Amino acid sequence: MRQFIENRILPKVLKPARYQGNEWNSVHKNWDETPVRVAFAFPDVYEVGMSHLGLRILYHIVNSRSDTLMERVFAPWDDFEEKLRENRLPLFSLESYRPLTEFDVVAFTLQYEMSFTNILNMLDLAGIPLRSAQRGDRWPLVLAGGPTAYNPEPLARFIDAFLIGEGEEAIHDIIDTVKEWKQLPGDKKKSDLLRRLVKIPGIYVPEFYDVKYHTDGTIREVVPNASYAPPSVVKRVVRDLDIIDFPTNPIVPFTEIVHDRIMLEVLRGCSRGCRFCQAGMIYRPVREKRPETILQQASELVRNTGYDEISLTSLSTSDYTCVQGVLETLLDRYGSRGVGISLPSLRADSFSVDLARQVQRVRKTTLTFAPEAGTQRLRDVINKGVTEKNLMEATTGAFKAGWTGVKLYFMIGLPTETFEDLDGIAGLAYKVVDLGRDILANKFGRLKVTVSASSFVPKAHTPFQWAPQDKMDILREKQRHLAAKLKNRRIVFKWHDARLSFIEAVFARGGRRVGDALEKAWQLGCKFDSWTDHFKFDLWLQAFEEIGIDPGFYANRPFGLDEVLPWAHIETGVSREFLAAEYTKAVNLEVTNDCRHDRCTLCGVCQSLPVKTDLKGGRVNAPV
Amino acid sequence: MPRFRMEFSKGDPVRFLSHLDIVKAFERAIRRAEIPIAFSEGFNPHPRMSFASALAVGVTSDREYIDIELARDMQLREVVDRLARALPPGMEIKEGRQVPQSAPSLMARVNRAAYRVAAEAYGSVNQAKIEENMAAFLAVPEIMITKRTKKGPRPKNIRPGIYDFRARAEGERLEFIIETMTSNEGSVRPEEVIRAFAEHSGCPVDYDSLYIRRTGLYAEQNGELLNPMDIT
Repeated sequence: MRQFIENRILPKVLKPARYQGNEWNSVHKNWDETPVRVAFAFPDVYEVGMSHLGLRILYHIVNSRSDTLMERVFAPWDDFEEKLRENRLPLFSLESYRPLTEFDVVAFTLQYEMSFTNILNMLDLAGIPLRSAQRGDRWPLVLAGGPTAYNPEPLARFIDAFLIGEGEEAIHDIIDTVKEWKQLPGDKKKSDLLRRLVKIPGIYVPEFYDVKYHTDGTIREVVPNASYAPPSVVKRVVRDLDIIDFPTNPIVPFTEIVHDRIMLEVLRGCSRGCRFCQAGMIYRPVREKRPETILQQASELVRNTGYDEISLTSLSTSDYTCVQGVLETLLDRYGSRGVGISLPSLRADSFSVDLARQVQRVRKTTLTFAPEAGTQRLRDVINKGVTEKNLMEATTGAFKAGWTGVKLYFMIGLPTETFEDLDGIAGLAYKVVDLGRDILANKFGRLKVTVSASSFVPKAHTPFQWAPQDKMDILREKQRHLAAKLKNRRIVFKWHDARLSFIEAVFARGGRRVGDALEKAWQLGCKFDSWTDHFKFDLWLQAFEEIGIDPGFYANRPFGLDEVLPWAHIETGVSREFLAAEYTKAVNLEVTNDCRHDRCTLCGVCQSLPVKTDLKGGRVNAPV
Repeated sequence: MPRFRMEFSKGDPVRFLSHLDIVKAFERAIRRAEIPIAFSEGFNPHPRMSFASALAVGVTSDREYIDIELARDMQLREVVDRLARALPPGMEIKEGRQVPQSAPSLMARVNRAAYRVAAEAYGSVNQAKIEENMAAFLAVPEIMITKRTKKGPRPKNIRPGIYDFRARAEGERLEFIIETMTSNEGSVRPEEVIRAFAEHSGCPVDYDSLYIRRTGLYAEQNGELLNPMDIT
């Protein structure tokens, strides 16, 4: 098969190096001598999937086991898919070019809702029946995990088992279980495997739960239908980032990927408490790595990959309590060897700009900040602890340091938003332009202020999970309003397609029933929905119509505080009471502190899970 | 500081890499090998390395050339050994030598490339017939093809850029031996020659079956072909 693909297909497709599978540090194990075989499936193209740190971590951990191999598979681009179908070839893994059906486990990672159609498409390309119920004992176990698994329900009919939470330790439990089951004498039953798997903390097997509905379509209850299934599934979380295995020999792709650099995780979690942010809730608590661990891993990573850039990744790296010292040491060690350091996201404050100034080797033209909302009132509602003063100090610092471009990220359609808040966005943009005029002087002509407005999508397990998304026509009106206000030679205004945000909201808050619409949309031809040129809104509407689902029921309806949410049986450790209290505080314009700098907020994570906030510097860097 | 020239191959495992991918693969291998390469001056320093010629995606090569400049001394043997260990499978260093700082850039001097192309035909091809067709094909002074360029399709006469063109036919299997111009002023690709020939003669080549291997790069100088390792 490999020869046919290399000689007959790869010369005909875009970016053939995507499908080669023999990159530096890729792992090719002896198939016959390895008892457990897992395919890691990323439901997007290679360049996106290879940029995902979770893949690098799990690939390393699984392949470190002598009894297991993990190989990769990505969503093939249109042209390659066409060739596969034309030649009746099944979707295969990159390392050994084996059909996915030969693996024991096909494990999907769920990074965003709009990749769901690609999961169905990949199963179909592999020749695997889409629905769990259609898959008998001879098919691979179809597993899924990742942040979007925190509302697993839209995929409940297609995935055999979900892993909720962090995978570093849980993946071993899963593999041990699969191995044990495989070694049993006699016929191996899928149902027996699932029964064994569900005993692992963090594993959710949808078929062991029944969802009962009220006549209005809301959920009455979600109850286990098997004695061995727990009433709710609590996420897995690792206690100590210094001890868990972190890959220092990741695959180095031949062809350029989205994040083509070393990704060195310095901390996990964020407790700033932005009320719209799912990552800020599900990855709690904050756990930092020790500087020594980071420096050791950096040195191995540079030696093993040859990359010329180390990105210190996390949800908010300027919050790392040891960031200054680590940065200085890294710059010192690698500056002369042509290896640069980068920070992925910046808080809008002068401390962060100062860090950015230290690390920039190549003078990039643009710095990005995310004030998220245009007025202090609305920033208090969403608990975004950034003030106008912070932002102005940050941009002043940026212009003084030589940057001539600033990108400002905002979200429109946030709960309680009025047109005054939109005017606030425009006001901030013009203040930044004024600052640029004063500071940049004769370089003012180069100033570019990009204002980017995404649309609020309520997400599961956040304080805003109950909040409705603005209807599409309102979002569009808000976009038009902003566009009219932001007509200026120095300002570029960008916004997201409201239709895409609408579909995203349906799946972010949808239950099992939206899964039928998902399957229908895929049948009608939807895939790669997050790629603008592939997104087919009409087909989505047709799918909802044919299945008899009102998408607005999930996207635009305020969920009742006493309603059973589709994900009520999935627990992040952050209590429902905390989220509800946060939602009430939001509406009352009350802010909540970050527990790293002040008292515990009793969100529930450290109270209910065997883990606690772990700061290595113990000192606070940025103003709260 | 020393400047080294190395001959390397691009084999099947890396055949779908673009020239840019090859450049990056070398940059990363050099860093993994901890070879003290020199960097250009300026805001955005680049490692000092240069190639003789770019190779297209899908094409393998027996002989490609790279020059690298070091920031401090290291023995040739050491550089070659270290690099050989750090390069991905499919990229192999064949030979190395030190060249003077003043040696001209390979890109500026290399102007000729040799290829062997394996192909399949729809039906059996006769050796005598194909030779006859080739002679007729090469006898015309102008072979016009349409080149796809950034500015849209452009007509181009490739005849002056074809230096050698032969074929061996064995049933439905063909092998072409081609030598063409490759330089900054213009290049003729082997698949262009084969396509033009097939269209001219009606030779039933399956274009999807072409497997192109570059067998050499040369600098033609006063009728003499120089090996790039000898250009100093």
